[in-house]
This record gives sequence, C-alpha cells and structure tokens, in this order.
Amino acid sequence: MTLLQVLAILLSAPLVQGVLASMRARLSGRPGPSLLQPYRDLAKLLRKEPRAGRAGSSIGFVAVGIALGTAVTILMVLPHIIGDSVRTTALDVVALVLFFALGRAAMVIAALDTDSSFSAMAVGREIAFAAIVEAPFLLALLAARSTPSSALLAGSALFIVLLFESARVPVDNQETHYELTMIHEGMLLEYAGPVFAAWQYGAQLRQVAMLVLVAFVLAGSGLPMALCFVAAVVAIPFVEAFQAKMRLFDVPQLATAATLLAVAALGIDIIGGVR
Amino acid sequence: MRGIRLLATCLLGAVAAAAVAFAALPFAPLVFHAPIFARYLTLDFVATPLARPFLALLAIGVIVVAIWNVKRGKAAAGIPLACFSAAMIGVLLAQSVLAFLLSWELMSLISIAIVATESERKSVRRATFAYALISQLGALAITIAFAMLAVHAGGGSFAAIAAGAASLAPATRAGVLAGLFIGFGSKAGLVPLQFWLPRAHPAAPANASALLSGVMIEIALYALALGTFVLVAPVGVIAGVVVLLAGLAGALFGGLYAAVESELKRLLAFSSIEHMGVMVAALGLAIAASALGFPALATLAFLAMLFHALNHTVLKTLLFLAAGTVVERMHHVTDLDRLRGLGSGALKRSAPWILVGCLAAAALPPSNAFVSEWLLFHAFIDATLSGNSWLASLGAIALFALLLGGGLAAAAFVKLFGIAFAGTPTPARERETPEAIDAATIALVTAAILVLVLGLFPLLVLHPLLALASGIVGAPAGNLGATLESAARLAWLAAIPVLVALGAWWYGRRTMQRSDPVWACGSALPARASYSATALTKPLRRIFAFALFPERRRSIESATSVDFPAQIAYAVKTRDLTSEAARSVAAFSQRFVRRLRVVQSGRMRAYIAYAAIAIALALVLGR
Repeated sequence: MTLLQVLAILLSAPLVQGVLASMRARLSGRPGPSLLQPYRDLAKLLRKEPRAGRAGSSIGFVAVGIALGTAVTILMVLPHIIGDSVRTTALDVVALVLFFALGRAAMVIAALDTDSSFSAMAVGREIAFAAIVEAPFLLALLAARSTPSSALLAGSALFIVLLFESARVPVDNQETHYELTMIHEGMLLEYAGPVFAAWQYGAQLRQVAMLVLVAFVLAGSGLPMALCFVAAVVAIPFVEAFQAKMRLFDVPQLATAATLLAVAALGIDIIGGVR
Repeated sequence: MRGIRLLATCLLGAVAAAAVAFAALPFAPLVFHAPIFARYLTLDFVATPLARPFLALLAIGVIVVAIWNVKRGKAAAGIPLACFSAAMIGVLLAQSVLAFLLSWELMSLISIAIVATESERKSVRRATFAYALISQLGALAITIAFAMLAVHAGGGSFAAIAAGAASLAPATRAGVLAGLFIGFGSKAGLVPLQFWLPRAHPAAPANASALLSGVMIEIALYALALGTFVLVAPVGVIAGVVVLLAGLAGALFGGLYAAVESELKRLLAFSSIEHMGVMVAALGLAIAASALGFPALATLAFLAMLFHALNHTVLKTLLFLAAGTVVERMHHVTDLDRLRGLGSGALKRSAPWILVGCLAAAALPPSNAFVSEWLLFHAFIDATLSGNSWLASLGAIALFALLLGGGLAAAAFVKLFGIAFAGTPTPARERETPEAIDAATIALVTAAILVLVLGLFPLLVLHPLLALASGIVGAPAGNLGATLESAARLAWLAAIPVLVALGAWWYGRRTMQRSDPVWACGSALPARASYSATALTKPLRRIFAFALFPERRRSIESATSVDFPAQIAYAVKTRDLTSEAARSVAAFSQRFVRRLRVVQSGRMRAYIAYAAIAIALALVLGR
C-alpha cells in the first residue's frame, strides 16, 4: 500500500504542479500552459549538459541527492490517502518535520555554495521563515485528531505552512524571476540541466507530500481524505490568483497566524479532553 | 616540546581509561571511603548507576580531545585538561557532601585557570572574571543547600541525605532546591544565569572549549539530575515546571542568539545553551511527570535527556575542535564574515566531517541528535496526549518553544556551514599548504563516525540507558521498548537520503562538469562581494528585533565628494536580552539610590533626629 502510493506520487507530482499552474492561469484570465508542461520541462532539462553550480564542487550534487532522498523518505512515512484516518493512524509527525527540515538545509547549503549573492539573499529569507514555521507545522499535525472543529483549524494552519513550504503566493511567487523578491527560485538561480531538474522534481514531491498532509488533517472533520486532497489542490490557485504577494516582512505575521490557529486547535483538544 | 606533548596525551589517555573503567565495571566499586573528622566530613567516592553514562561521555570527550591534541593546540595544554577531567570524574564519583564540594570546587578553579589561558587579551580577562564570579556564587549556593541537607540528615553521605529527604519541611525543601538550581544551573548555562557562558567558553583554547562545552555542562546536568532524583527525591510538580520552563527559555535564547551570531566559537557556545536548554526541559518533564503519576512518560523523558547528553558531548567536541583547526589554519580568524570556502580550501579534508557535526547540532537526520530529539519530542507529544490538562498544556508550550529554538539553531548551523565551508575560497588564503590527514583530522573523523553510528544504530546505547533510566525514575520500562524499536526503524529511514546523496556525488564525479561564472549583473564577482553571515541573518534580526535590539552603525569618509566615499565603515551589533534586563535593573536601582540620597543630607541635626527616631521606635516596638 505504502509502495503503491509512493509510486503514484513519484509519477504524478509534476502533474499536480501542472494542474496548479494551469488553474492559476485560467483564473487570472490567461490560457495557461498544458497540464503536462512540467513533464516536458523536466525532460528538456534532463537532456541538457550537466553543469555544476561551481567548478569542482561536489556540494551541489550531494545536496541535491539529500534533497531527493529526503523527499522519498517523506513519501514513505506519509499517511495513505485511501484507508488511513486521523483517528486511527499514528503519524510520525516529528520525523516528518525534521525530514522536511533536512531537505531545506540541503537546498540552502547548495545555494550558498554557488557564490551568488542573489541566492544568498534568498537563503536569508528562507532560513528565517523556515525557523518560524516549524512550530506551527508540528503543532498542526499534532492537533488534528479529535474534533471536527480542531481539524478545520489545524487544517488551515497546515495550509499556511504549505504556502511557505511550496513557495506559493502570499509568501513567494513561482512565476516571477525578479531576484530581489523571490525565495525558492532565487536559491536555485545558478543551477541548470539535470541537477536543476532534480531540484525541481524534489520540490514537486514535497509539494504533494504537504498536500497529502493537509488532506489528512482536514479529513479529521469527517470528510473523505481524497476529497480533502482535491479541495486543498483547488484552494492553492484560488489563493494565488486573488491574493497579492505580501511584503517580505509582513510574511512573519502569516506564520504567527498559522501558529495561533494550530495552538487554538490543540487547545480545543486539550480542554475538550476528548482523548 | 615533543616530550611534553607526549606526556599530556598520556595523561589524558589515563584519565579517559579511568573514566571508562568506572563507567564499565558491572558492580559499584567503593573507590574511596575515608571518615575524616566527624560524621559530616566523610570523603566517599563510588560509581553509581546515574554517574555511569556521564562517565562514559566524559571518556569519549577526553579521548577525542586527546587525539586532536597530538597534532594541534599548545603542547602543554593537555596537562591542565587532564587535571580538569580528573576533577570532573571526582564530581561524578562523589557520594558525600565534602567529596562533592571539593571536587566541584577543584573543577571550577581549574576551569577558571584554563579559561584564563590567553589572559593577555582583555576580552579573555573580562570573560574569566565573569566566569569566576558566577562559579563562586554558584558554589556558595550549592554549599548552603548541601549544608542544610546534611544538617537535616545528620550526616554528610549522600545515602543519609537521600534517606532524610522525605522528612524535609516544605520551606527548607524549597530553599534547598533553589540553592541547588542556582548553583548547578549557573554552571549549566541556564537562562538567566547564562551570561558568562558565551564569553568564557569561546575565550578558552579550542581543546579546552571542547571539554567545557562538551563535558562540563553535562556534569552540571548530572548534578541537577542527582539533586532532583536522588538527593531530594520527590521534588514535586512545581519544581518540575520551573526546571522545564528554565530549559525552554534556554532553548529559545540559545537558538536565537546562535542564529544571528557571526563569531564561530560564540555561535557554538550559544548552541550549547540551546542544547542544554533542551536537556534541562527533558529533566523538568521527567520530574513533573513522575510527580503527577506518569512514570512511563518520566522514564522516556529521562532516557531522552541521557541520550541527548551523550550526543551533545560527541557533537560539541567535534565542532569546537573543528573551530580549533580553523583558528590554527586561518591565523585566528574566526569571524564568519571573513571565512569562506574552507571546504575546498584550508579545511578540505575535515569539511565533510564538520558537516556531519553541523547536521547533528541542528538535530537533523541521520545524526545521533536527531534520534535523541525525536525521543524527546515524543515525550512531549505523549505529555500533550496524556489526558492530564496541566501536563498537556506544558507539553504544548514546550513543543512550541523547542521547535522554534530548534529551527533557529538549524538556521545557525546551516549558515555556519554554508557561509564558511561552502563556496569559493577567498584567494588570499589559497597560498596555504593543503590540509593533510593528521591526528587533528582523525579526531574529527572519530567524533563524526560516532555521530553517525549513534544515529544509525541508536539501540546500541538506548537499551542500557533505558534500563538505567527506569531504575532511577523508579518505574518499569513497560512498553517503551516499542518506542525504541520505532526510533531504530526511523534511523534506517534516515539512511535513504545518505545513499541517494552518495549516488548523486558519484554521478557528479563521473559526468564532466562545466561551470559558468556566477551571474552578478554583468560584472565579474570579486571575492569581497560574497554574501556575509551578517547579511544572511538580516531577516532574522528584523523579525526578532524585539529580543535582539539590532543596532547599525555606518560611517562614510568622503575624500573629495559625498558620491565617491574613500572608506565606508559598517558595523552591526545585537544586544543580549538578559544583559539588557540587567542593565535596566542596574539603571533603575541607581536612580532609586540617587533618590534615597536625599536623606544623607550631611547635616548633623538630621542625623541626631534620625537617631532619636530610631531610639523612639526601638522603645515603642521593643516593649
């Protein structure tokens, strides 16, 4: 079962990215790329000549390996979309959070290895935001067990964490290439060819993993998890199309909001004493 | 010179061997028992179960430092370090008040002398003074607490004290606990008694810093555990909560200041405060849980604390010794703003192993600290799910603080490695001889391999530690074995990224790599233009401005016109929350005292009036 789901995600992660990009374009009145565009992008990058971010450095290769490996590990500890429920499945939330952190650390070190100041600028933002969303991430995963209301609160908290983790609009913008504002794209600015494809693919895998987690938590409200997954996927382009990117130093308030939501959910659980 | 170095290495080796012997012997040998004067003044040294893991971690730290010392550091530096380690063994073996106080004071005094090694620098002298002050005040607090215990028990041996502890009056018990907490907590670097630690630990030479930060603060943790679980046995929920909150404050403080610190050794010292906070929080949870009747939870927390202490010794010894190698290879430059590309330059051989240490310090897989923090987080999650609303709220608060502190610490170590070790080396330093594989590198490799072995095969030590923890907490191990099994399974999951990374590395070596100059808006990028550690943490300084008080000074010297500056000086400073608080308390008390000065008018009539009032009051009240 786990293996089947891991395989399915490995195959469909670029498709999810394509769906998100296409929906966002439609919502903002553009025809948008094909759903399969991410596959074509990856194929094109893989055909290119491998180039290092920096001559003679193996840090970039090791880091991309760690990032891909972590993404696969995360897929292996994810809950199953079909068959698992928040009430019965014991999820290893600590391992999830720390493996996500390892993937991020690898990307940050790889970005700093390229000597590019634009990448380093993005790294500064990434490490600051990563440090403040770790707490809502774990607390939201933890809070989702008992009542429908706490599941909804925790689900919204986790959705905000997803916006951070997958570089989505109020936090970051995947469609811009303006060096002074971007985070995720900025860190990978100097990478090209197969290595860049690996970075992008790893990010797509982590994005699906986050979506599964959001669905898992939301499903505590009684809805089927597959439906929650679709809802989470649809919610992202709506947020992206109708919400402007936040000013950089307003973004921490979003993390605070996520923390408050997660704490509220946990508080409902504790006071309710449902367990 | 070579003879002295050999002698120092032999001494360190002998101390480590003694520690191993005490830790590994299956029975509790009565090392020394000498009633000196009266029943209060006995000298007892016995290896108890609680001391064993700490003896083991001491041995590991000393061995790694001894190997490093074969090649680097001052030749004679090993001799005081061996005495220092012997004193620490004394603290661990001490089983009576006199033995403990003597060993503790010896440990403190030798460590003060070691911190003062480079006393020609003013910053070192000031750090030594702060450390001497706090350690003597701490010793005073411990002495008073132990004296109260011994008088109550009618004897100076720990066995007598533990037997008499149950009948302590509540007020006495609170006083004793406060004394022990202040004394041991100041040595452990708990907030707000931590101010000396980020000054004193980096002031010492690297091999001494490794023992101070990697072993001595663990000794303070041992003393805290001894006080709360053996000497004053049931200490109650409130004490547990106080200890827990102090630990959380340490984790937050250490993480935040490590994240924005740009001096290598100070960053490591702040990280020690963070790790110590994590361990003390675990101890606090163990106390609170056992007082509230959750023995399995208490055992898990205590186990996590013990394992994390061991892991912290390994990783902090590794990192401080690495800092020592940096100091020697880079001619005393330890400012991260001026270090770049060491991984392909001056520290090419050591860099991969230092990366392992950085991952461990950030508690990321596949390191040993990942497993112990995993256990610890599970203890706190179990607390939030326990059904007891006090424990649940504490657990939630603790999870929040530990994750925020841990996230910030991770940022600190990613910054450390990414800035100083990744990237292109600054060209001026490239004239150095390439780094050879010598004893110093072997020391780092040894510690790094220990990090990985403990991270991938944690059950090797977790099973014996579990037996020990359940013995001390006084609860059966129960179904904690299952938790340990899942910890071990998890460790294997952590091997996946490592294997994929090795594959990617091989692919990188195999394919011909071409690289292009970095995009810098069309111009070539000079080495000086590379991003600095200070710039990297600017967002963090801004987000946490309320606790960091960032300050920026910029001065422009213009030679001919304002548009063509001759020189720009730029400095960023953050200030410490606790020293800010201390400063405002001092300012307030000075203002208060200045007001009070009104009564000191200097006129004789006023003083006669004061005396008359005092006599009148005495007559009225004393009647």
